Amino acid sequence: MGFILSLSIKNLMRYKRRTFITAIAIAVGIGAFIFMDGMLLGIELESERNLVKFETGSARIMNKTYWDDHDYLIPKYNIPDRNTVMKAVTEAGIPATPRITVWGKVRKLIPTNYEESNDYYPATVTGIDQKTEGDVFLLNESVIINSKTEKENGRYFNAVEEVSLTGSVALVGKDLAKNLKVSVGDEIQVLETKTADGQNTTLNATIVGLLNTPDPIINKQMVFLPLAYIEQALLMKGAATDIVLLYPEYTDINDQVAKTKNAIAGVPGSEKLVTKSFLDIASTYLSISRGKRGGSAFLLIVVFLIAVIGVSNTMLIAVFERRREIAMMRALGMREGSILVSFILEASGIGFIGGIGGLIIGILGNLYMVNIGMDFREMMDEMGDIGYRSLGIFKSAWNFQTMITAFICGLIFTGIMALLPAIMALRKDITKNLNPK
Amino acid sequence: MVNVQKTVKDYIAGKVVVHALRGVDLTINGGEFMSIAGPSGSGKTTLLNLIGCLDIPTSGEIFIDNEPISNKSKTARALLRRKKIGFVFQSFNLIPVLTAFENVAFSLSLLSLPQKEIYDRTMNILDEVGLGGLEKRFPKEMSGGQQQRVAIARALVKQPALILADEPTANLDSNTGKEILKLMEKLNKSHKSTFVFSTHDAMVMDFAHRLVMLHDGRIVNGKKSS
Repeated sequence: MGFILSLSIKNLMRYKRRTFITAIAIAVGIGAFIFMDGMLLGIELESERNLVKFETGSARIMNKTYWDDHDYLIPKYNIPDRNTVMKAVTEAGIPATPRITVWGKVRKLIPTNYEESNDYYPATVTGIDQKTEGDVFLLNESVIINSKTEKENGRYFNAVEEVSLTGSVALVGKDLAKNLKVSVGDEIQVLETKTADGQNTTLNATIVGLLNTPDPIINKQMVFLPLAYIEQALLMKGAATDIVLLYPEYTDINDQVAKTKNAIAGVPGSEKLVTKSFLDIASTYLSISRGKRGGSAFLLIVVFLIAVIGVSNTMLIAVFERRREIAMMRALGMREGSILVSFILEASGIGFIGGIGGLIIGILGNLYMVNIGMDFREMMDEMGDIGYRSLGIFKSAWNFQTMITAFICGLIFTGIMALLPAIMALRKDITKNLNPK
Repeated sequence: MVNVQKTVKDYIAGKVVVHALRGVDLTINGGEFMSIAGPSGSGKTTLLNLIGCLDIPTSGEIFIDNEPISNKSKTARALLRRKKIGFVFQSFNLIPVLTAFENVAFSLSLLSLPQKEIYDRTMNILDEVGLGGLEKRFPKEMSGGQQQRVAIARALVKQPALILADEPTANLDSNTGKEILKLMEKLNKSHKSTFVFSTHDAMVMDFAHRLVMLHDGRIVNGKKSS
């Protein structure tokens, strides 16, 4: 075996340029695979973080029927005594905030003559509790305050906002505001929202701030109102549609959900409540997002395989050029299996060199992308939603499993690629190859 | 040692059957230094390939040490070649990435001998063929004659009973060719190995102690010299 290994290494170095060029192709394939996988994983993790911090929280306690019909967001199915549930979960050490979330159609109101606009946009309208919202979400850090366009600069909700039946204040996602052609100081109207007793009602509000978050869903389809106002307008009387929770990072989400269920078990009416993690709430998005990564990984595997086929070509040439040598070794009594192994080792050697190169390329690329990242903000502003809950600066994540897998696959695939040409050579008669014409 | 009985070898070239050997009978005794001669296409290489177990006859039989080879598997024939037969090729067929030492040691490495024995036997045979001190040279750093000496050393180092050489001097100038033949003759005497070589060169035929002439796949005559 020592001789075979030594022969393979020497043959590998025999055609340095050819080995080098083929190894470069492998290195680029593996490097691109590692780089892109790290980037996609980074976007996916960033999306999940943004999803939790801006959109869903870690988990939500809801009325079972509200959850079952969550496509319709019906306020009739609510948590009747939100304060008791809030108390139970906060005493268990879980940061929480109540919300009232309903569907509505939003339009701009012209303040001078209250002329009605016919441009409606569907929106998710959410009442937020100023006192506890910041314990779970980061909306307060996302209000535009430094825009060059003065009218875009606004503020977050004050601790106490003036609430009357005729209206309140609102925070609106910047893209929705753009569609509605409104900015800070403008008035909006939300139509066709349902009250707790199922009647249609209208909500009016003056925009005090525009939200620019890394989550495009918030920017595109969310309107936030003070909880007190929406509670009064929708006749919720101490109720909430959701109690949103924030779990510590890097903890088992199922354990945390179980802990929450324990905490609210003693609350009256708890049998009608469900606790759903963000994995359930955003299950469709998450499966699409992971599917995208899988799809992209498939394309990268194709690129990688093309590089590996290059090895097959190199080995085919090597076997053809050395057919007389192969015949001589067979004539001297060398086992065909040993000859096969020597070619597999030789090809795997190309895979090894390419794999090391690929790891270097992938790690260097990832190092830059993890620490600095790429700023796609301008491009994303133009493109809008690309299907991830992430906008702006994309950063990669380390995926050592992918690196090891790509490296080992490089070795195995390149080794396998030597099989066919070597077997073809071994099938030929020794006598014909000893004196090829 | 070798007994060739009524051996026929046909090749199919497209739709044409080429009769390379047409019923050859030949006995080669242990320790002989003999040549199979004849013009191109007479069947010399085919006969050497059959004796060397690189191919099997279409009909007839070849016995090596009284063992028939036709019914042996590929693996069994490979094992027989590894242990009992040495080859010297017209174009040397050395492995270019290996040194002279490594090319010769390659034969022994197939026999799974201890490293020390491989080293000693390789260095001894290289000395014997006149390549002492050149063991670290690669084939491209050696002359044609030196390369053929390496090939002879590679064939002889495992001390086979039979050494087959297919036109061993065809790629050498006449002086170098003579030196190689003298070396082979000397080694035949010192090692008692049987040497069978093919040629169509009259000078080479003169070196042979026994000459077998082939023509159109048949032995036309044979002679013994001193």
